[in-house]
Amino acid sequence: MSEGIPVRATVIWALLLLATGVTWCLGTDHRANAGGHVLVAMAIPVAFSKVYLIGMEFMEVRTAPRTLRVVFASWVVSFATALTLLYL
Amino acid sequence: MSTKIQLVCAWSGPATVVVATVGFLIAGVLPFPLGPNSTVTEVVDFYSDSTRVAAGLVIAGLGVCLVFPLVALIGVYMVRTEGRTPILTFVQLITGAATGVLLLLPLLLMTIGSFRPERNAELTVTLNDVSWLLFITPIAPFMIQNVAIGTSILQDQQSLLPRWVGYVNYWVAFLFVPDILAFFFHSGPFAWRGIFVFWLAFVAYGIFLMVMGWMLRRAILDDSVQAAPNAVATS
Amino acid sequence: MKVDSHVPTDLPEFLGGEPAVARQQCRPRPPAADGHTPGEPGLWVFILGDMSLFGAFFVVLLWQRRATPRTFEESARELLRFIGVINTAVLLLSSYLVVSALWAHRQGCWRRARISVLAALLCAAVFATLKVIEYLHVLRGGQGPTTNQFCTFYFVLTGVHLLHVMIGAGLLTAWLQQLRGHGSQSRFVEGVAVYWHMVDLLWVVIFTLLYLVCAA
Repeated sequence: MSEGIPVRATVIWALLLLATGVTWCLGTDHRANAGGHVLVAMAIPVAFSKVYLIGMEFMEVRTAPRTLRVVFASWVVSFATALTLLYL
Repeated sequence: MSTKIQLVCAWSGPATVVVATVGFLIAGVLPFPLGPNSTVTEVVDFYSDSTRVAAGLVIAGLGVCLVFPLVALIGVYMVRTEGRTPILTFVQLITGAATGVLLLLPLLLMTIGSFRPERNAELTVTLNDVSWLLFITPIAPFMIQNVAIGTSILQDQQSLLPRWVGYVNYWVAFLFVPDILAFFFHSGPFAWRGIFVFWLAFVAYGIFLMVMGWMLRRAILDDSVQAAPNAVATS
Repeated sequence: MKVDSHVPTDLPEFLGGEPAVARQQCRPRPPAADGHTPGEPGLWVFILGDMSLFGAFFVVLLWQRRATPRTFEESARELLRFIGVINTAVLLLSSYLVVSALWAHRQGCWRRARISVLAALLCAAVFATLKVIEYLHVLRGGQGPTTNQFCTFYFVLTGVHLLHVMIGAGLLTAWLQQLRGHGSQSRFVEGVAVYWHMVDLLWVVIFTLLYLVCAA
Protein backbone atom coordinates (compact mmCIF):
# COMPACT_ATOMS: atom_id res chain seq x y z
CA MET A 1 0.00 0.00 0.00
CA SER A 2 2.43 2.71 1.12
CA GLU A 3 5.25 3.59 3.44
CA GLY A 4 2.77 4.73 6.09
CA ILE A 5 3.42 7.37 8.68
CA PRO A 6 7.01 8.67 8.58
CA VAL A 7 9.36 7.46 11.31
CA ARG A 8 10.11 11.06 12.20
CA ALA A 9 6.52 11.59 13.40
CA THR A 10 6.69 8.51 15.61
CA VAL A 11 9.97 9.63 17.14
CA ILE A 12 8.54 13.08 17.83
CA TRP A 13 5.51 11.54 19.48
CA ALA A 14 7.69 9.42 21.73
CA LEU A 15 9.66 12.54 22.64
CA LEU A 16 6.43 14.33 23.52
CA LEU A 17 5.33 11.52 25.82
CA LEU A 18 8.75 11.56 27.45
CA ALA A 19 8.57 15.31 27.93
CA THR A 20 5.15 14.90 29.52
CA GLY A 21 6.72 12.56 32.01
CA VAL A 22 9.50 15.04 32.67
CA THR A 23 7.11 17.95 33.30
CA TRP A 24 5.06 15.71 35.58
CA CYS A 25 8.12 14.98 37.67
CA LEU A 26 9.24 18.59 37.63
CA GLY A 27 5.90 19.73 38.94
CA THR A 28 5.41 17.10 41.59
CA ASP A 29 5.73 17.93 45.25
CA HIS A 30 8.49 20.45 45.57
CA ARG A 31 8.68 22.21 48.87
CA ALA A 32 8.82 25.97 48.79
CA ASN A 33 12.58 26.27 48.59
CA ALA A 34 14.36 28.30 45.95
CA GLY A 35 15.57 25.23 44.09
CA GLY A 36 12.09 23.74 43.88
CA HIS A 37 10.70 27.02 42.63
CA VAL A 38 13.12 27.08 39.70
CA LEU A 39 12.54 23.42 38.87
CA VAL A 40 8.80 24.01 38.64
CA ALA A 41 9.41 27.09 36.51
CA MET A 42 11.31 24.88 34.08
CA ALA A 43 8.12 22.99 33.42
CA ILE A 44 6.87 25.97 31.44
CA PRO A 45 9.65 26.07 28.82
CA VAL A 46 9.46 22.30 28.55
CA ALA A 47 5.73 22.55 27.89
CA PHE A 48 6.31 25.19 25.22
CA SER A 49 9.01 23.04 23.66
CA LYS A 50 6.32 20.42 23.26
CA VAL A 51 4.07 23.08 21.74
CA TYR A 52 6.88 23.97 19.33
CA LEU A 53 7.36 20.32 18.33
CA ILE A 54 3.64 19.75 17.81
CA GLY A 55 3.48 22.84 15.66
CA MET A 56 6.59 22.22 13.61
CA GLU A 57 6.17 18.49 13.11
CA PHE A 58 2.50 17.59 13.46
CA MET A 59 1.05 20.81 12.10
CA GLU A 60 3.78 20.76 9.42
CA VAL A 61 4.81 24.36 10.02
CA ARG A 62 8.38 23.20 9.39
CA THR A 63 7.65 22.96 5.68
CA ALA A 64 5.53 26.09 5.61
CA PRO A 65 6.55 29.47 4.16
CA ARG A 66 9.05 31.38 6.23
CA THR A 67 6.53 33.98 7.45
CA LEU A 68 4.41 31.36 9.15
CA ARG A 69 7.42 29.63 10.67
CA VAL A 70 8.69 32.90 12.10
CA VAL A 71 5.29 33.95 13.45
CA PHE A 72 4.67 30.58 15.06
CA ALA A 73 8.12 30.42 16.62
CA SER A 74 7.72 33.99 17.90
CA TRP A 75 4.42 33.10 19.49
CA VAL A 76 5.97 30.14 21.29
CA VAL A 77 9.00 32.07 22.51
CA SER A 78 6.99 35.15 23.61
CA PHE A 79 4.45 33.28 25.66
CA ALA A 80 7.01 30.87 27.10
CA THR A 81 9.12 33.80 28.27
CA ALA A 82 6.20 35.84 29.58
CA LEU A 83 4.71 32.95 31.52
CA THR A 84 8.02 31.82 32.98
CA LEU A 85 8.79 35.36 34.12
CA LEU A 86 5.31 35.74 35.60
CA TYR A 87 5.77 32.57 37.61
CA LEU A 88 9.18 33.43 38.98
CA MET B 1 -25.93 54.53 -7.77
CA SER B 2 -26.20 51.27 -5.94
CA THR B 3 -22.43 51.15 -5.77
CA LYS B 4 -22.33 54.45 -3.93
CA ILE B 5 -24.96 53.28 -1.43
CA GLN B 6 -23.07 50.05 -0.91
CA LEU B 7 -19.88 51.98 -0.26
CA VAL B 8 -21.66 54.10 2.36
CA CYS B 9 -22.89 50.90 4.00
CA ALA B 10 -19.35 49.54 4.01
CA TRP B 11 -18.11 52.68 5.71
CA SER B 12 -20.81 52.39 8.34
CA GLY B 13 -18.85 49.47 9.80
CA PRO B 14 -15.85 51.51 10.91
CA ALA B 15 -18.17 54.43 11.58
CA THR B 16 -19.98 52.36 14.21
CA VAL B 17 -16.70 51.90 16.06
CA VAL B 18 -15.71 55.55 15.85
CA VAL B 19 -19.05 57.10 16.80
CA ALA B 20 -19.77 54.65 19.60
CA THR B 21 -16.29 55.10 21.04
CA VAL B 22 -16.61 58.88 20.95
CA GLY B 23 -19.97 58.62 22.68
CA PHE B 24 -18.57 56.34 25.36
CA LEU B 25 -15.63 58.65 25.96
CA ILE B 26 -17.91 61.64 26.39
CA ALA B 27 -20.21 59.73 28.73
CA GLY B 28 -17.31 58.41 30.77
CA VAL B 29 -18.05 54.77 30.06
CA LEU B 30 -14.59 54.66 28.52
CA PRO B 31 -11.81 54.36 29.51
CA PHE B 32 -12.90 53.11 32.93
CA PRO B 33 -16.41 51.65 32.96
CA LEU B 34 -18.42 51.04 36.11
CA GLY B 35 -18.26 47.52 37.41
CA PRO B 36 -20.46 45.18 39.47
CA ASN B 37 -18.21 45.91 42.42
CA SER B 38 -18.47 49.69 42.09
CA THR B 39 -19.83 51.23 45.24
CA VAL B 40 -23.29 52.77 45.33
CA THR B 41 -21.66 56.18 45.67
CA GLU B 42 -19.56 55.64 42.56
CA VAL B 43 -22.58 54.60 40.53
CA VAL B 44 -24.72 57.51 41.70
CA ASP B 45 -21.87 59.95 41.08
CA PHE B 46 -21.46 58.66 37.55
CA TYR B 47 -25.08 59.28 36.64
CA SER B 48 -25.33 62.55 38.51
CA ASP B 49 -23.38 64.34 35.75
CA SER B 50 -26.53 63.73 33.83
CA THR B 51 -26.24 66.07 30.84
CA ARG B 52 -22.81 64.87 29.82
CA VAL B 53 -23.60 61.22 30.42
CA ALA B 54 -26.88 61.42 28.52
CA ALA B 55 -25.28 63.26 25.61
CA GLY B 56 -22.47 60.73 25.35
CA LEU B 57 -24.81 57.77 25.56
CA VAL B 58 -27.17 59.24 22.99
CA ILE B 59 -24.24 59.54 20.59
CA ALA B 60 -23.15 56.00 21.39
CA GLY B 61 -26.72 54.80 20.87
CA LEU B 62 -26.82 56.43 17.46
CA GLY B 63 -23.40 54.98 16.70
CA VAL B 64 -24.30 51.37 17.36
CA CYS B 65 -27.23 51.65 14.98
CA LEU B 66 -24.81 52.20 12.13
CA VAL B 67 -24.38 48.46 12.34
CA PHE B 68 -27.67 47.98 10.47
CA PRO B 69 -26.47 49.17 7.03
CA LEU B 70 -23.41 46.97 7.34
CA VAL B 71 -25.58 43.95 8.12
CA ALA B 72 -27.61 44.67 5.01
CA LEU B 73 -24.48 44.98 2.87
CA ILE B 74 -23.13 41.70 4.21
CA GLY B 75 -26.47 40.20 3.23
CA VAL B 76 -26.12 41.53 -0.32
CA TYR B 77 -22.78 39.80 -0.69
CA MET B 78 -23.89 36.60 0.98
CA VAL B 79 -26.94 36.21 -1.25
CA ARG B 80 -24.68 36.22 -4.31
CA THR B 81 -22.81 33.22 -2.98
CA GLU B 82 -25.76 31.05 -2.10
CA GLY B 83 -27.78 30.51 -5.22
CA ARG B 84 -31.30 29.15 -4.91
CA THR B 85 -31.48 28.74 -1.14
CA PRO B 86 -29.90 31.70 0.66
CA ILE B 87 -30.38 30.24 4.12
CA LEU B 88 -27.17 31.63 5.62
CA THR B 89 -28.03 35.04 4.20
CA PHE B 90 -31.35 34.97 6.03
CA VAL B 91 -29.70 33.77 9.24
CA GLN B 92 -27.24 36.66 9.04
CA LEU B 93 -29.93 39.23 8.37
CA ILE B 94 -32.06 38.05 11.26
CA THR B 95 -29.28 37.70 13.78
CA GLY B 96 -27.58 40.86 12.53
CA ALA B 97 -30.77 42.80 13.11
CA ALA B 98 -30.98 41.29 16.57
CA THR B 99 -27.42 42.34 17.38
CA GLY B 100 -28.23 45.94 16.49
CA VAL B 101 -31.20 45.97 18.83
CA LEU B 102 -29.21 44.23 21.57
CA LEU B 103 -26.64 46.99 21.37
CA LEU B 104 -29.13 49.85 21.23
CA LEU B 105 -31.55 48.86 23.95
CA PRO B 106 -29.02 48.63 26.81
CA LEU B 107 -27.62 52.00 25.87
CA LEU B 108 -31.10 53.51 25.96
CA LEU B 109 -31.58 52.02 29.41
CA MET B 110 -28.26 53.44 30.51
CA THR B 111 -29.29 56.83 29.21
CA ILE B 112 -32.49 56.57 31.23
CA GLY B 113 -30.27 56.01 34.25
CA SER B 114 -29.11 59.55 33.92
CA PHE B 115 -32.62 60.94 33.46
CA ARG B 116 -33.45 61.42 37.15
CA PRO B 117 -30.19 61.11 39.08
CA GLU B 118 -31.82 62.24 42.35
CA ARG B 119 -33.90 59.06 42.53
CA ASN B 120 -33.38 56.34 45.13
CA ALA B 121 -29.76 55.13 44.86
CA GLU B 122 -30.78 51.48 44.80
CA LEU B 123 -32.91 52.10 41.73
CA THR B 124 -29.98 53.71 39.94
CA VAL B 125 -27.73 50.78 40.82
CA THR B 126 -30.33 48.31 39.59
CA LEU B 127 -30.83 50.23 36.36
CA ASN B 128 -27.05 50.25 35.91
CA ASP B 129 -26.91 46.48 36.49
CA VAL B 130 -29.71 45.91 34.01
CA SER B 131 -28.07 48.07 31.34
CA TRP B 132 -24.66 46.52 31.64
CA LEU B 133 -25.75 42.90 31.83
CA LEU B 134 -28.10 43.39 28.92
CA PHE B 135 -25.25 44.99 26.97
CA ILE B 136 -22.64 42.33 27.68
CA THR B 137 -24.32 38.96 27.91
CA PRO B 138 -26.51 38.20 24.87
CA ILE B 139 -23.77 36.59 22.81
CA ALA B 140 -25.83 34.10 20.82
CA PRO B 141 -27.09 36.36 18.01
CA PHE B 142 -23.58 37.74 17.55
CA MET B 143 -21.99 34.30 17.45
CA ILE B 144 -24.60 32.89 15.10
CA GLN B 145 -24.14 35.88 12.82
CA ASN B 146 -20.38 35.40 12.75
CA VAL B 147 -20.65 31.67 12.09
CA ALA B 148 -23.12 32.29 9.26
CA ILE B 149 -20.82 34.82 7.64
CA GLY B 150 -17.74 32.65 8.10
CA THR B 151 -19.43 29.58 6.68
CA SER B 152 -20.79 31.53 3.73
CA ILE B 153 -17.38 32.94 2.85
CA LEU B 154 -15.63 29.58 3.12
CA GLN B 155 -18.27 27.91 0.96
CA ASP B 156 -18.12 30.60 -1.68
CA GLN B 157 -16.66 29.21 -4.88
CA GLN B 158 -16.17 32.65 -6.34
CA SER B 159 -14.30 34.03 -3.31
CA LEU B 160 -16.10 37.35 -3.41
CA LEU B 161 -14.39 38.04 -0.12
CA PRO B 162 -10.95 36.64 0.81
CA ARG B 163 -11.13 33.41 2.76
CA TRP B 164 -9.24 34.80 5.73
CA VAL B 165 -12.24 37.03 6.43
CA GLY B 166 -14.29 33.89 7.01
CA TYR B 167 -11.73 32.65 9.50
CA VAL B 168 -11.70 36.02 11.27
CA ASN B 169 -15.46 35.66 11.73
CA TYR B 170 -15.01 32.26 13.35
CA TRP B 171 -12.33 33.69 15.63
CA VAL B 172 -14.51 36.64 16.65
CA ALA B 173 -17.32 34.22 17.52
CA PHE B 174 -15.03 32.42 19.96
CA LEU B 175 -13.96 35.70 21.51
CA PHE B 176 -17.54 36.34 22.63
CA VAL B 177 -17.80 33.11 24.62
CA PRO B 178 -16.52 34.39 28.00
CA ASP B 179 -19.16 37.16 28.08
CA ILE B 180 -21.84 34.97 29.62
CA LEU B 181 -19.64 34.64 32.68
CA ALA B 182 -20.58 38.23 33.53
CA PHE B 183 -23.65 36.85 35.26
CA PHE B 184 -21.53 34.95 37.73
CA PHE B 185 -18.85 37.36 38.88
CA HIS B 186 -18.82 40.71 40.60
CA SER B 187 -15.12 41.27 40.18
CA GLY B 188 -12.07 39.99 38.39
CA PRO B 189 -11.38 39.27 34.73
CA PHE B 190 -14.77 37.67 34.12
CA ALA B 191 -16.96 40.40 35.60
CA TRP B 192 -18.82 42.62 33.16
CA ARG B 193 -15.98 45.13 33.04
CA GLY B 194 -13.34 42.41 33.23
CA ILE B 195 -10.65 42.10 30.63
CA PHE B 196 -12.05 38.92 29.15
CA VAL B 197 -15.59 40.23 29.00
CA PHE B 198 -15.98 43.92 28.21
CA TRP B 199 -12.55 44.59 26.76
CA LEU B 200 -12.28 41.38 24.75
CA ALA B 201 -15.78 41.81 23.32
CA PHE B 202 -15.15 45.48 22.54
CA VAL B 203 -11.96 44.66 20.66
CA ALA B 204 -13.43 41.59 18.95
CA TYR B 205 -16.54 43.36 17.72
CA GLY B 206 -14.44 46.32 16.64
CA ILE B 207 -12.21 44.01 14.61
CA PHE B 208 -15.29 42.45 13.04
CA LEU B 209 -16.75 45.82 12.01
CA MET B 210 -13.46 47.15 10.67
CA VAL B 211 -12.55 44.01 8.75
CA MET B 212 -16.00 43.55 7.21
CA GLY B 213 -16.31 47.23 6.32
CA TRP B 214 -12.86 47.42 4.78
CA MET B 215 -12.99 44.15 2.85
CA LEU B 216 -16.52 44.75 1.60
CA ARG B 217 -15.44 48.16 0.37
CA ARG B 218 -12.64 46.48 -1.59
CA ALA B 219 -15.06 43.93 -3.00
CA ILE B 220 -17.50 46.64 -4.08
CA LEU B 221 -14.75 48.57 -5.82
CA ASP B 222 -13.48 45.40 -7.52
CA ASP B 223 -16.99 44.66 -8.74
CA SER B 224 -17.52 48.15 -10.10
CA VAL B 225 -14.21 47.95 -11.95
CA GLN B 226 -15.32 44.68 -13.50
CA ALA B 227 -18.71 46.06 -14.41
CA ALA B 228 -17.29 49.19 -16.04
CA PRO B 229 -15.84 47.47 -19.16
CA ASN B 230 -19.27 45.89 -19.80
CA ALA B 231 -20.97 49.28 -19.54
CA VAL B 232 -18.57 50.67 -22.07
CA ALA B 233 -19.28 47.75 -24.42
CA THR B 234 -23.08 48.18 -24.41
CA SER B 235 -23.23 51.96 -24.76
CA MET C 1 -30.58 51.32 -27.19
CA LYS C 2 -31.22 53.26 -24.04
CA VAL C 3 -31.85 51.14 -20.96
CA ASP C 4 -34.14 52.68 -18.37
CA SER C 5 -31.90 52.61 -15.33
CA HIS C 6 -34.82 52.51 -12.89
CA VAL C 7 -36.17 49.16 -14.05
CA PRO C 8 -34.28 46.34 -12.29
CA THR C 9 -33.14 43.87 -14.88
CA ASP C 10 -31.38 41.36 -12.65
CA LEU C 11 -33.20 39.45 -9.96
CA PRO C 12 -31.13 37.59 -7.38
CA GLU C 13 -30.80 33.92 -8.11
CA PHE C 14 -33.08 32.76 -5.30
CA LEU C 15 -35.93 34.80 -6.80
CA GLY C 16 -35.44 33.17 -10.15
CA GLY C 17 -32.75 35.32 -11.62
CA GLU C 18 -29.68 34.20 -13.47
CA PRO C 19 -26.86 32.64 -11.47
CA ALA C 20 -24.12 35.13 -10.79
CA VAL C 21 -21.35 35.18 -13.34
CA ALA C 22 -18.12 33.85 -11.94
CA ARG C 23 -16.07 36.85 -11.08
CA GLN C 24 -12.51 37.10 -12.34
CA GLN C 25 -9.95 37.37 -9.62
CA CYS C 26 -8.69 40.93 -9.60
CA ARG C 27 -5.71 40.09 -7.50
CA PRO C 28 -4.06 36.89 -8.67
CA ARG C 29 -2.22 35.28 -5.83
CA PRO C 30 1.42 34.44 -6.59
CA PRO C 31 2.27 30.82 -5.76
CA ALA C 32 4.19 30.48 -2.50
CA ALA C 33 7.78 30.00 -3.47
CA ASP C 34 9.15 28.73 -0.21
CA GLY C 35 6.82 26.15 1.24
CA HIS C 36 3.32 24.80 1.58
CA THR C 37 0.97 26.44 4.02
CA PRO C 38 -0.86 23.67 5.90
CA GLY C 39 -4.54 24.08 5.16
CA GLU C 40 -4.61 27.60 3.81
CA PRO C 41 -3.20 30.99 4.87
CA GLY C 42 -6.56 32.29 6.11
CA LEU C 43 -6.87 29.38 8.53
CA TRP C 44 -3.78 30.55 10.38
CA VAL C 45 -5.47 33.85 11.21
CA PHE C 46 -7.92 31.77 13.20
CA ILE C 47 -5.36 29.35 14.62
CA LEU C 48 -2.92 31.99 15.83
CA GLY C 49 -5.80 34.18 16.98
CA ASP C 50 -7.32 31.36 19.02
CA MET C 51 -3.92 30.41 20.43
CA SER C 52 -3.44 34.03 21.45
CA LEU C 53 -6.79 34.09 23.22
CA PHE C 54 -5.66 31.15 25.31
CA GLY C 55 -2.26 32.79 25.68
CA ALA C 56 -4.00 35.82 27.18
CA PHE C 57 -5.90 33.51 29.55
CA PHE C 58 -2.59 31.95 30.62
CA VAL C 59 -0.95 35.31 31.23
CA VAL C 60 -3.85 36.60 33.33
CA LEU C 61 -3.95 33.28 35.21
CA LEU C 62 -0.34 33.55 36.31
CA TRP C 63 -0.75 37.27 36.93
CA GLN C 64 -3.68 36.65 39.27
CA ARG C 65 -1.74 33.86 40.94
CA ARG C 66 0.87 36.32 42.15
CA ALA C 67 -1.67 37.84 44.51
CA THR C 68 -2.74 34.61 46.23
CA PRO C 69 -0.25 31.82 45.46
CA ARG C 70 -1.20 29.76 48.51
CA THR C 71 -4.90 29.67 47.60
CA PHE C 72 -3.99 28.68 44.07
CA GLU C 73 -1.73 25.96 45.41
CA GLU C 74 -4.38 24.49 47.71
CA SER C 75 -7.08 24.49 45.08
CA ALA C 76 -4.79 23.14 42.38
CA ARG C 77 -3.81 20.23 44.59
CA GLU C 78 -7.46 19.20 44.69
CA LEU C 79 -7.31 18.38 41.00
CA LEU C 80 -6.83 14.77 40.00
CA ARG C 81 -3.41 15.04 38.51
CA PHE C 82 -3.33 11.51 37.18
CA ILE C 83 -6.45 12.23 35.13
CA GLY C 84 -4.66 15.29 33.78
CA VAL C 85 -1.65 13.19 32.77
CA ILE C 86 -3.84 10.51 31.16
CA ASN C 87 -5.74 13.19 29.28
CA THR C 88 -2.47 14.68 28.04
CA ALA C 89 -1.35 11.27 26.80
CA VAL C 90 -4.77 10.63 25.23
CA LEU C 91 -4.66 13.90 23.29
CA LEU C 92 -1.05 13.31 22.21
CA LEU C 93 -2.12 9.91 20.94
CA SER C 94 -5.05 11.46 19.10
CA SER C 95 -2.71 13.97 17.46
CA TYR C 96 -0.46 11.13 16.36
CA LEU C 97 -3.47 9.34 14.92
CA VAL C 98 -4.47 12.49 13.05
CA VAL C 99 -0.96 12.69 11.55
CA SER C 100 -1.32 9.07 10.53
CA ALA C 101 -4.73 9.76 9.05
CA LEU C 102 -3.45 12.72 7.06
CA TRP C 103 -0.61 10.67 5.58
CA ALA C 104 -2.99 7.85 4.75
CA HIS C 105 -5.37 10.34 3.15
CA ARG C 106 -2.59 11.81 1.03
CA GLN C 107 -1.51 8.37 -0.12
CA GLY C 108 -5.06 7.37 -0.96
CA CYS C 109 -5.21 4.63 1.71
CA TRP C 110 -8.83 5.33 2.58
CA ARG C 111 -9.32 2.45 4.96
CA ARG C 112 -6.30 3.32 7.08
CA ALA C 113 -7.35 6.96 7.09
CA ARG C 114 -10.85 6.06 8.25
CA ILE C 115 -9.53 3.85 11.04
CA SER C 116 -7.14 6.54 12.22
CA VAL C 117 -9.80 9.24 12.27
CA LEU C 118 -12.20 6.96 14.11
CA ALA C 119 -9.51 6.16 16.65
CA ALA C 120 -8.85 9.88 17.12
CA LEU C 121 -12.56 10.41 17.68
CA LEU C 122 -12.47 7.66 20.27
CA CYS C 123 -9.63 9.48 22.01
CA ALA C 124 -11.75 12.62 22.02
CA ALA C 125 -14.59 10.71 23.64
CA VAL C 126 -12.25 9.32 26.30
CA PHE C 127 -10.90 12.82 26.97
CA ALA C 128 -14.37 14.27 27.36
CA THR C 129 -15.49 11.45 29.65
CA LEU C 130 -12.45 11.82 31.90
CA LYS C 131 -13.01 15.57 31.99
CA VAL C 132 -16.59 15.15 33.13
CA ILE C 133 -15.52 12.67 35.79
CA GLU C 134 -12.94 15.16 36.99
CA TYR C 135 -15.45 18.03 37.04
CA LEU C 136 -17.83 15.94 39.15
CA HIS C 137 -15.03 15.08 41.54
CA VAL C 138 -13.98 18.70 41.94
CA LEU C 139 -17.56 19.91 42.37
CA ARG C 140 -18.30 17.25 44.96
CA GLY C 141 -15.15 18.35 46.76
CA GLY C 142 -16.90 21.66 47.29
CA GLN C 143 -15.05 23.76 44.73
CA GLY C 144 -17.10 25.46 42.08
CA PRO C 145 -16.35 28.05 39.39
CA THR C 146 -16.97 30.89 41.82
CA THR C 147 -15.10 29.51 44.84
CA ASN C 148 -11.89 31.36 44.12
CA GLN C 149 -9.82 32.74 41.24
CA PHE C 150 -8.04 29.47 40.57
CA CYS C 151 -11.28 27.52 40.36
CA THR C 152 -12.71 30.12 38.01
CA PHE C 153 -9.74 29.77 35.71
CA TYR C 154 -9.81 25.99 35.99
CA PHE C 155 -13.44 25.70 34.95
CA VAL C 156 -13.31 28.44 32.31
CA LEU C 157 -10.02 27.32 30.73
CA THR C 158 -10.86 23.64 30.62
CA GLY C 159 -14.45 24.43 29.69
CA VAL C 160 -13.55 26.55 26.68
CA HIS C 161 -10.96 23.92 25.76
CA LEU C 162 -13.60 21.19 26.00
CA LEU C 163 -15.77 23.27 23.67
CA HIS C 164 -12.86 23.29 21.23
CA VAL C 165 -12.53 19.51 21.59
CA MET C 166 -16.20 19.03 20.74
CA ILE C 167 -15.95 21.28 17.71
CA GLY C 168 -12.83 19.34 16.73
CA ALA C 169 -14.78 16.11 17.03
CA GLY C 170 -17.38 17.58 14.69
CA LEU C 171 -14.66 18.47 12.19
CA LEU C 172 -13.16 14.99 12.43
CA THR C 173 -16.61 13.55 11.76
CA ALA C 174 -16.91 15.74 8.69
CA TRP C 175 -13.53 14.38 7.54
CA LEU C 176 -14.83 10.87 8.08
CA GLN C 177 -17.80 11.63 5.86
CA GLN C 178 -15.48 12.88 3.15
CA LEU C 179 -13.53 9.64 3.42
CA ARG C 180 -16.69 7.60 2.90
CA GLY C 181 -17.02 9.17 -0.48
CA HIS C 182 -13.25 8.88 -1.06
CA GLY C 183 -13.15 12.65 -1.25
CA SER C 184 -9.84 14.42 -1.32
CA GLN C 185 -10.29 18.08 -0.44
CA SER C 186 -6.81 18.44 0.95
CA ARG C 187 -7.29 22.05 2.03
CA PHE C 188 -10.15 21.10 4.33
CA VAL C 189 -8.54 17.94 5.64
CA GLU C 190 -5.25 19.63 6.41
CA GLY C 191 -7.20 22.41 8.11
CA VAL C 192 -9.01 19.93 10.33
CA ALA C 193 -5.69 18.31 11.23
CA VAL C 194 -4.11 21.65 12.10
CA TYR C 195 -7.12 22.56 14.26
CA TRP C 196 -6.89 19.26 16.11
CA HIS C 197 -3.18 19.70 16.78
CA MET C 198 -3.96 23.15 18.14
CA VAL C 199 -6.45 21.59 20.56
CA ASP C 200 -3.70 19.20 21.64
CA LEU C 201 -1.00 21.80 22.13
CA LEU C 202 -3.33 24.08 24.07
CA TRP C 203 -4.07 21.25 26.47
CA VAL C 204 -0.33 20.65 26.99
CA VAL C 205 0.00 24.19 28.33
CA ILE C 206 -3.27 24.07 30.29
CA PHE C 207 -2.18 20.88 32.00
CA THR C 208 1.27 22.26 32.81
CA LEU C 209 -0.08 25.50 34.24
CA LEU C 210 -3.19 24.37 36.11
CA TYR C 211 -2.13 20.98 37.37
CA LEU C 212 1.58 21.41 37.89
CA VAL C 213 2.76 24.99 38.10
CA CYS C 214 -0.10 26.31 40.21
CA ALA C 215 0.03 23.32 42.51
CA ALA C 216 3.70 23.63 43.36
